[in-house]
Amino acid sequence: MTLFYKKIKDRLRFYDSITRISKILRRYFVMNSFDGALTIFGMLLGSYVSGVEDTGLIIFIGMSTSIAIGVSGITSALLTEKAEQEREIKSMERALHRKLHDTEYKRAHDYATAAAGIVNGISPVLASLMLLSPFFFFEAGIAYPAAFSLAILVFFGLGIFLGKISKQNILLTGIKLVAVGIICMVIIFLLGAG
Amino acid sequence: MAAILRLVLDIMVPNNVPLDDLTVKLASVGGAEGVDILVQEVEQKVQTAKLTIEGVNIDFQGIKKVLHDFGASLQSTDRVSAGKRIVG
Repeated sequence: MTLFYKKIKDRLRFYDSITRISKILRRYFVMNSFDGALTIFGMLLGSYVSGVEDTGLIIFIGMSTSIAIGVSGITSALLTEKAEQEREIKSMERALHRKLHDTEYKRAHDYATAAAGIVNGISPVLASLMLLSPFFFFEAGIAYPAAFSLAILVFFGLGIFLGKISKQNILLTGIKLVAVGIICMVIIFLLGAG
Repeated sequence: MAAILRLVLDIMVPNNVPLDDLTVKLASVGGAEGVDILVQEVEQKVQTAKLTIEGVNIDFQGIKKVLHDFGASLQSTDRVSAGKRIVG
């Protein structure tokens, strides 16, 4: 089994050294997790301000939204990344004066496209499900504050990850993403009050 | 048929293909006992290199298959040694 995992790991490392996709995947992960979390955060704030207390309804709307974000993430990444990878293959074929279909080199680029689609699709769904999770177990009175606290934690966590990637101050990048969430919250509360 | 003992090939490889991976893979081809890749020129997207393989009964088709798989192209076969021992 360990030999099997080692083979897969080696293969993925080889694909990554050709396409450098892991750097792009990291960016996609943060960008789309934040996208998903902020969308559901906005939806929950809207429900809270409107006084919606039916947890079943919140879960249904939240799940529908997160499915839509996931499908949008997968399709947009597959289309854009496929175009980008095919452009790269064609340009390399011109440089090499040969076709590259049915080679490991081409498979590395196919892997890059698929991985981008998976990360782009799954990351916003996971982030949004995390925010929705309190509504599966608690009543609205407890679930709302729990979900809002989780949202702040997710924003901060993504900020820390972003800071680590960009080798910046992780506390600062964490606070920046939390601040974006708070700005969103203030705007929605102001809209509700208006 | 006499066995191939040495091959010297002129190849073109995409710059983003790790040469260590390519060298190790070539060394695993049947009959190859030693592989050397010497980069000669690096262009914007590709690099040309001199590939030397020594061994006993080297599987030339296997070598071509690995090169094909890694996206490399065989420019020319510069030297082939075959027989019971290497001459020159």
